[in-house]
Amino acid sequence: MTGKSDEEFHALGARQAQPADPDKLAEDPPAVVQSSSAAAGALILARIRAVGYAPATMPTDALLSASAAAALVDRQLIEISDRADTRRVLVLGWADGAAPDPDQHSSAPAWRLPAVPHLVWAVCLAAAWPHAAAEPYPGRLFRREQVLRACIDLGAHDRAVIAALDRTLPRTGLITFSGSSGRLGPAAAALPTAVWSALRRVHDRLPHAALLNEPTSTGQATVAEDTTTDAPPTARRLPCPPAGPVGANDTIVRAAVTALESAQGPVARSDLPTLADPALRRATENALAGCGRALISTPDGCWTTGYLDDIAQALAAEQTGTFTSGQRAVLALILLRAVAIPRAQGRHDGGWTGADHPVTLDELSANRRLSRAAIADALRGLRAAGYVATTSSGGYVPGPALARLGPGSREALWEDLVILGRPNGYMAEKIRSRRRTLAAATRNGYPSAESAGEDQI
Amino acid sequence: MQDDPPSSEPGDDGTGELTAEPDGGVTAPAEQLSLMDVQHEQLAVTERLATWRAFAAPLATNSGAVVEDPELVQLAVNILAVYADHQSRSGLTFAQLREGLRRLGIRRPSGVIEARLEHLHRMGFLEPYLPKLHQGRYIVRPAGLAGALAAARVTERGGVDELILLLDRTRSALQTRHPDPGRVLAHLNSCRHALMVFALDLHRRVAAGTAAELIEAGRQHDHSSFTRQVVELNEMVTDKFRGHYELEEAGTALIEAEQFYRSQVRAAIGKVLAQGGAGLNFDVLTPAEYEAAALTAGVDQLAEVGASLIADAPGAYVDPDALIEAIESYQPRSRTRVRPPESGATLDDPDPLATAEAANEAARRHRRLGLEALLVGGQEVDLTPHMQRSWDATVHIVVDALALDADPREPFVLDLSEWLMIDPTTPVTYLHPARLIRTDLVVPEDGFAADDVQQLGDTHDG
Repeated sequence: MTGKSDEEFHALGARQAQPADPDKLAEDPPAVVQSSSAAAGALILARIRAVGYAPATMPTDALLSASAAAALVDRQLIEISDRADTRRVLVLGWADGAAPDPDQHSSAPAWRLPAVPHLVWAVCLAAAWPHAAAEPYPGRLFRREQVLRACIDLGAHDRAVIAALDRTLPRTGLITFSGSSGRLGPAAAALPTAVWSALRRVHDRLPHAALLNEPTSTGQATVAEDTTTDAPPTARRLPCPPAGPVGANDTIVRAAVTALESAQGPVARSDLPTLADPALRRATENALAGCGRALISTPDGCWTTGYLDDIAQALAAEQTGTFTSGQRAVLALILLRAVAIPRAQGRHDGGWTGADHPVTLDELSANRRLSRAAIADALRGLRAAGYVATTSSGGYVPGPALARLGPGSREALWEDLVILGRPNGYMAEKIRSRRRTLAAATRNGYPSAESAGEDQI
Repeated sequence: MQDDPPSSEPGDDGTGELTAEPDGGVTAPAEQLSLMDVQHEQLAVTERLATWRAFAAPLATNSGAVVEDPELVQLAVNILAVYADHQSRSGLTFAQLREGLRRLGIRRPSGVIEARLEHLHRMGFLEPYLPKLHQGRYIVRPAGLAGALAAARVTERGGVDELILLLDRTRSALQTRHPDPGRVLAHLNSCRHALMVFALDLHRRVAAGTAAELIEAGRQHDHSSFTRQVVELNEMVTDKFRGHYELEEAGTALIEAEQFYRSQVRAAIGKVLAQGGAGLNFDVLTPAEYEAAALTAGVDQLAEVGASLIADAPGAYVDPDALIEAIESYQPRSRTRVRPPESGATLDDPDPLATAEAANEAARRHRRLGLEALLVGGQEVDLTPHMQRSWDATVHIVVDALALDADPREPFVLDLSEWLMIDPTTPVTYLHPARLIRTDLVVPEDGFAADDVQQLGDTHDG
């Protein structure tokens, strides 16, 4: 954060965030991110969507735009310290009183933690937040061994606890570890206030007793004792534009955006009938565009959201939220076997997603260049990112995140597979040539993230 | 082009490949075709027939000379397989050919096969093994073999193989020690003619062809090595025939034709690319090419896919109720075993031990009251007269007195004499005399009772 005071920030934001007029919006051209500050703000929000947080040291205009765009969809930027306490980062929280409703649309439930990760996070929460009257975030530091032993004492299986501590919860951002000491993560800071209020009401039912049973050797202070002084500064909500009158249409748009962005996969049209109205659909598209997102109609007639193509290209250019080479290789194998080959044989009429042609681990490991361990590790990351899903029979299929691809990303992925199939043909040559031309011609003005390269999944 | 008949259907295993029957026949597993599949199949049949008509046009005398059923062409290829599989070295009869075709899974009516064999015989595809009349053994003329294979190949590659063959033959002609200028010139012109024919066909497809035609063209002509081969040919012509203007001009014309051809290929591919991504037209390549990539591509090659993909998963929804539910489903595990709590006694479920204890207590009380009645407040009583009344009384008194004597909580001592008293006048004719002594009464000052009790106790212990 630089420069301007909160009041100045506030006033600037008020000029940018005006309530949407659906009648006027329906006549406007399709949603695009028009100004450079709006584009920069959209890129900030897209970075947060991709990796959970974004650097806070951005130009004030960009932060203003991001804050105003977030406010239009009931979100608010929150500034916190990163896990190493070396810099301030932004996460996307919820406006006061706003929260997603996971049961609103049966066709697209939100992703919930399984039982063991829930228990592990409850123990972490009890360790980090021992007093209900205190601010829960960032809370106190806790030791990994302390949480692990407490969970095992509570009856959880040790392997499941380790998986939750080392993979599931850090990937969701609910906890972070620096060495063996952990703390609540950026996703915890972004939880709605309603969730924290509910957690405060049930604070006495958190498993504090399991942590009290921890044996401590003589002369060894507990973590709670020796970490009370090194807690980082608390979270700070960036001021958002003043809330103007919110009409019924604004409420509908915000509810639709919340449902689409929180759902694991596409939402059935019957669950979002309001998007059949052109004016409301355009208002939703514009609200999403401010966040770097686009409304996407899937081939099977559902709605979902994804990155705008230019935003996706900017994120890919700065390596934010991209995949490792091993993960991309495994994803390529899955797409070859689950989409490309069935479509080339005329056995598959669907799009990128679909569970008709599951791929087994044996089929993936038929490529001897990849070890089974590397494939399994890559699959875990791809599943967490939504690009791979599993079937009840245990096979792997393209995940719901592939339905979120914009037209440009879909075409690029198709071209990638064509190049892979025939790398020396005219077609591959023409694709490469066209990409080189586009890369040279389109020099976008997006500010790059400070931590290019370290935000890989 | 696959060797299976056009009517064959993709296999149940989803691979679309044919499976071998136990008897060696080849059949296609049944699978319900979708409407799209049927259209695709019909389009492929039409395309094949059109290709064959063009292919056979130089040889045919009229437009109806080419078969209308693609399976009849495949029948000729199957006849080659029959000859390869059969042990006979002196030709096969029509009956042996029919049997061989049946083993290969050809299920055409025998009349159709017979007519086709007669036709192949008349056209010279099948020629007699011996030059005699009315002998019935035939072999395949090699030209017929070439025709059958070329018919299959021309539908698969659209004739591009002929262009490759022409380029190879031209290179061979140039690589001889003393190349013939006339022959080289003829080859160069043939290559240029072929390139122009293909270029014009591509130009037509780009201008007015369907998407399927363009994809087919892209798949057949996507060989970037043509340019290299033509340039190499031109360099060889320049080296071998420097100053031979006619040949150099032919080489230049060949390069121009290749450039025109290449521009048309790129135009076709560009049009495919323009709509390929949106429509997921993966049939721009063959399934085998994707399969080969999945099996043999290195990590770096595979990792080129999805370099622009960005993680796009929604955050986890934290439900406080589910959190508490998860906590309560797990209970602290104790390291020591703890007895379960005693359940409270209820009227419906009486405690059998307490009932037994109460019954024992009641029985002891009844015995004590009975013996105290015999004592009549005294410290000692002779039980013999009471026992002589009846056998039942004797049993009750002896049992009660023995039970209380054995109970340390009861202050009674039974002194059972060893000598036997016989009295035939009483109901109990014989018994041992017995005395009952109570030990908890206050001891008189003369000390008689205490000494007596001590004496009785010693006697009882002994």
